[in-house]
Amino acid sequence: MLSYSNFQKFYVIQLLLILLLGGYQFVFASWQVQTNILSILPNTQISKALLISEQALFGQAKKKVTVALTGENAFIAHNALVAKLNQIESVDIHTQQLPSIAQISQFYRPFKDNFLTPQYVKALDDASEMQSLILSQVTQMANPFVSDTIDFSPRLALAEYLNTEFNNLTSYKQKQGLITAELNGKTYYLMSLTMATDSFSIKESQLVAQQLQSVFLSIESEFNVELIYSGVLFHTAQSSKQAENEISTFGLISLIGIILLILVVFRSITPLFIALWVISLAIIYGGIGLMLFFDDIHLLSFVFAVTLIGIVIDYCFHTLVHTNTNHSAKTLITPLLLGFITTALGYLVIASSPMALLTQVAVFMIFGLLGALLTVLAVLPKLKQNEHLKVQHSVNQASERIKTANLYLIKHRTGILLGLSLLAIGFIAIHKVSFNDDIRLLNSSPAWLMENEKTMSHLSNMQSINRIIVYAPTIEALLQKQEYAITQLKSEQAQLDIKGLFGLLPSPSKQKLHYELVNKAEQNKVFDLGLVQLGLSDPLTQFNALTYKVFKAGPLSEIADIYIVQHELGYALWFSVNGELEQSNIKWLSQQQDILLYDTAKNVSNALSQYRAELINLLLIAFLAISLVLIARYGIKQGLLSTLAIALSALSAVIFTNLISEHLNIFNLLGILLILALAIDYVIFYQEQGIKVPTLLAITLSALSSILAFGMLVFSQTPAVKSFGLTVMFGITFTFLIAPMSANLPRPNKKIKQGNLNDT
Amino acid sequence: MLLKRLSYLFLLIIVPLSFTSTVASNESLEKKLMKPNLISGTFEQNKFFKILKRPIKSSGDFYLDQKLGFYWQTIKPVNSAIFLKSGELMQKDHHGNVKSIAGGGTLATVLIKAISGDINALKNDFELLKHQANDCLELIPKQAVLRQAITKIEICDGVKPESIKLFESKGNKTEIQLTYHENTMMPEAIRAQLQ
Repeated sequence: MLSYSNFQKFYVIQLLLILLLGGYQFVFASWQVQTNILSILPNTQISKALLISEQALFGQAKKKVTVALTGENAFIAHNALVAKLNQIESVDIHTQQLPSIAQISQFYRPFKDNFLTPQYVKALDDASEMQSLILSQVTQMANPFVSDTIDFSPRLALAEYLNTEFNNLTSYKQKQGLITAELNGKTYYLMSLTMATDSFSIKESQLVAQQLQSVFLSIESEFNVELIYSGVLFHTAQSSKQAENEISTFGLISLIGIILLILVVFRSITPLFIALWVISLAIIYGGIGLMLFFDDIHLLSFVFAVTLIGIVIDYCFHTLVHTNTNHSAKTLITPLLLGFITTALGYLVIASSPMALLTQVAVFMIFGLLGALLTVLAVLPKLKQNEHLKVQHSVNQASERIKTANLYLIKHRTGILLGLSLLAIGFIAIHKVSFNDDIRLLNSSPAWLMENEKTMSHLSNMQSINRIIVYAPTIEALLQKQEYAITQLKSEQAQLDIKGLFGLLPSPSKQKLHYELVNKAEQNKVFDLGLVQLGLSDPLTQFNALTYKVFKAGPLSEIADIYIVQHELGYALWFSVNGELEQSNIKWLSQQQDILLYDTAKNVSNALSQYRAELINLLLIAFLAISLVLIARYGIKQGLLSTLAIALSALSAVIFTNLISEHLNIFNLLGILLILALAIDYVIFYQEQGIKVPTLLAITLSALSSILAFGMLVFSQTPAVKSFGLTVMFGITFTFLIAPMSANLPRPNKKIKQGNLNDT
Repeated sequence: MLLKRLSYLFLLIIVPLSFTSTVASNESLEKKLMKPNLISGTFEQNKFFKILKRPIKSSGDFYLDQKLGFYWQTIKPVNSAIFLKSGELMQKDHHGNVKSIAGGGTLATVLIKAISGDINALKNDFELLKHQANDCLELIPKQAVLRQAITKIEICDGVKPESIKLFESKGNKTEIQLTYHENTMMPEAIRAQLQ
């Protein structure tokens, strides 16, 4: 058994080591704070290769900002905006030099017989049909591809192909040389910007966003135009600003509340320093835990982690109140240890969640609580009978009254618990609890920014666009898999409008197939009629496939970079499908290992839904385990009473949350999980120590401070944080009220002396 | 966005009707361009490719109705058509299959404005020069990307343009002779397609 002096030595050594480790990590480790909400979502349903592909393909999208201008002076305003933006170093306006038609035609020249449109393939069986096709090409008034390719590809397969492919790439309009889009009878001039900064670096985001917004405002007022903008940059800036505000506001209010509570109870600042010391160390331990396990720490984790203060203060109150008793330190160590173990186990369950946010919160809490526990255990004997830690007489009297009230409740607990149980069951049976797993729970962006996103989505026609990601270890397999996917999708929905690189760069095997079709038609003299009419000949050359490598080195490399990326596991590409996919296609896509329908919101909502279902099972298992432990330690009667108290507290939290919120969500359930962990603490103290004034006082102070800390979260702008706070706040309130009813009836009272709480 | 811009610019070039875009800087010539409700007639087209010894001839009808839209129908040597319906440019092949030419609406609008003489709508895209020697207007595309397809357009002869020449890349050229029909009605079949 570790003696107290040895434990103190151990404590000091580990504290020094922890502080050194923390300092090292803070300065040298590769952690960073980020606000990308997508990084903290469950992603177990998607393979690693597809996840990497998704990041590689669309990771850069976070650096994009889209601007749309409308109004009478929109064109002039657009030019003025370009001039102003050019002065901002971190902004790059898209003005790349485009390849000419002649360059493109010459690029495809060595592969001229590898590219056939479906219409051309049909004509390969009929010489007169081919003649009509060739003649319709050459009679077009100004088809630049015909002009540019007729001398080296008079069969005009290449002209027809390139004409069709470039025509199909997109449906954007242009006015006065600028890209435009129409919406509600207004013409919007669109502009795309790239930030030369990482949009998820918080400080940078806030600075650049502020700079851009100031430019946008000046353009709006100067030219009297409507200007809307969207981009991850602004969401990052807004959400980080909001999270910072919430952390500081909630943290400060919690702290002030706790300080007041301590001053009221002890009328001394010594307990305040002890509490602040323990809380500070807990935060340091929690932070080190985060830096140890995560490279990307989400800002929202800190918002949730504010609740650490509420739980750590429990330890402080138990310790401070205990110093007023004649009991040995050991009598507190057992429930403290049991409480920590059960709470940590609760968080450990949360840590196993596939959601990075919850894992981070759980790690922070476990490390923080461990730090707090070690600290209170180390200082507890030193504080015994400290003159500055005397509980005020008035507080003792109040505690006595709480005790009397609780004894009364215990006396009638059979009726009360039975009544509450019936009420809870009745409510749940009548008022069916419904869930909402919408991704918007995680969204804290302001309404105006969301409205901008919506408008921009309409302008860019993105609201009806599905993006599909394909992964393969080799480029050849990738291109083939893309063609296979498109064939499959079109077999179910022939009219699907699909856009991508597949036309400009078909797989070599498809090119070979087309080449052979041309070869066969040539042998069958299918082209003769058309070519004779032109007076030209077109001898077939050796097959030569256009490869990705060659394409990347050609004039269209920028398009290649948009659609295809190479990453550590192979290659990935995407293509778009305009319009709604039928269920059969959605099902088929969901069954593919290396093909993904890229719909982050939907994927996340589905994952949340699945995780929520799993969590309900987890709660039931946790509850069953808790019941068994309580029965094993405290006997059947007390064990069942404790179990019932915990269950009723949790159910009451669910009911009251549901009365306030229309639907429940996964974050309410996570709140319930935390309530289980906290409620078992309360129950253990009541079982270990009975209904005694010190226990009641410590638990009352703990409950008040926890209600304060979690209750603050109710005011968060993020629905997820708000839901969590609401449920936990209700849960603690009901645990505080119901848990004492599970206690053993106390032995006869002894006299209470001021400043010295005895076993009453 | 690069892709969008790139693809649109290509689209702009390849839509085979861009020859009609004009800008008139000379007021007297501007006035000569007509602005009636229905313009209809026939056309004969000679397409000169440098590589070919003789031009490729084609002919057909055209209809421009201010309300319904525009219809350009090639009858010989292959029956096909290009038409603007509800702001959307469509292409009809010799089998009667109709497909949309994505994003071509704006350009077709420019074309209609040119034929109907609404010069103001075209000033942004073309520079117009008057030929002193003959009664012609020379239209130079302002945008370099459009000049890749058409280096210049020449519209000649009187109040109604009767000759249109498109000077294309690689020295190729399209010459179109227009003959106008007075007091004609749009055929029901074409009207039905435009409605």
